[in-house]
Amino acid sequence: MNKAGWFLLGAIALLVAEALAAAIALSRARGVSAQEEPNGVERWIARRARHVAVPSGARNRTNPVSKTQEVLAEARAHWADHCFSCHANDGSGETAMGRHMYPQAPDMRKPATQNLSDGELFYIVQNGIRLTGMPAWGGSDRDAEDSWKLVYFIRHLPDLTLEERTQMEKLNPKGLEDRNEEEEEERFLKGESSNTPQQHHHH
Amino acid sequence: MQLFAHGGFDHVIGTVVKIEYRVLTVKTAKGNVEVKLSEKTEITKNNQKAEIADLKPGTRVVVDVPESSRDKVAHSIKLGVSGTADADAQRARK
Repeated sequence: MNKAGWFLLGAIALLVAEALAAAIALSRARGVSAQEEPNGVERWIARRARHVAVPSGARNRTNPVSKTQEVLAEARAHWADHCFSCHANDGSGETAMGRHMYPQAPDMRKPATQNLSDGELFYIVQNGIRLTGMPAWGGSDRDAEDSWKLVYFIRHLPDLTLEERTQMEKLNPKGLEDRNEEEEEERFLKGESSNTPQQHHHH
Repeated sequence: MQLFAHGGFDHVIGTVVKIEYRVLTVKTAKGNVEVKLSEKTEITKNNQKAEIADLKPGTRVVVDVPESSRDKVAHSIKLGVSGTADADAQRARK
């Protein structure tokens, strides 16, 4: 190897060592805490890595399920039951789970999600994303069909109506205590209860 | 804050006292609570869209504020009937 080659090798080794030192220092300072949000660099790297990780064949797949009102309604109900906890009914990610993940659940109405191809969305639903809260939902042919239906619903998220969201709220998985509180709030709003509900606080 | 908490939101429940400079004051069972409104705050009544102008004093409201929110910006506000709990209680006694 000539002098230039050794110089280049040394420079690369130095850069790698610096990057490792920075990563160790950062991890010691922040630990494994999920309290903070990923910075712009982390976000960019993660999205690029995700893009590269989706096989091009998968990215170019088209939705084999016919889009009908029944399919959309089915996907909406599926989302309300399975996806609401992290993504919220409207895809905003504004839920206790979604907000406290690392990275936070994205606002799926925005271009970062909507600009993904149908094939990419399907691949992500089926296979999940490592080191995030996104699980892999695929496994059977029935799962695949459901995931393709969900792709239609994800496309519909920016146009979700208040009426649709209200229907979905009835399908969201909630505990008895939450249901009771919601009913109490409804009674209060309708004027059926003369007392302002008392303080409850739980997660 | 006087609240319920479910679905990732604290629920401020009471009647509108006033709204000034996009700050809503709600009279709850444990005193007045202030929450901020943003462009994204969704206001509804009977599952239909409503306006800031509908937040009149005495209107019953349930305000959703993200849990642990430092700036207390309302995510959504559900409007109910007008009339304070006190007034209802007085009507009930008559």
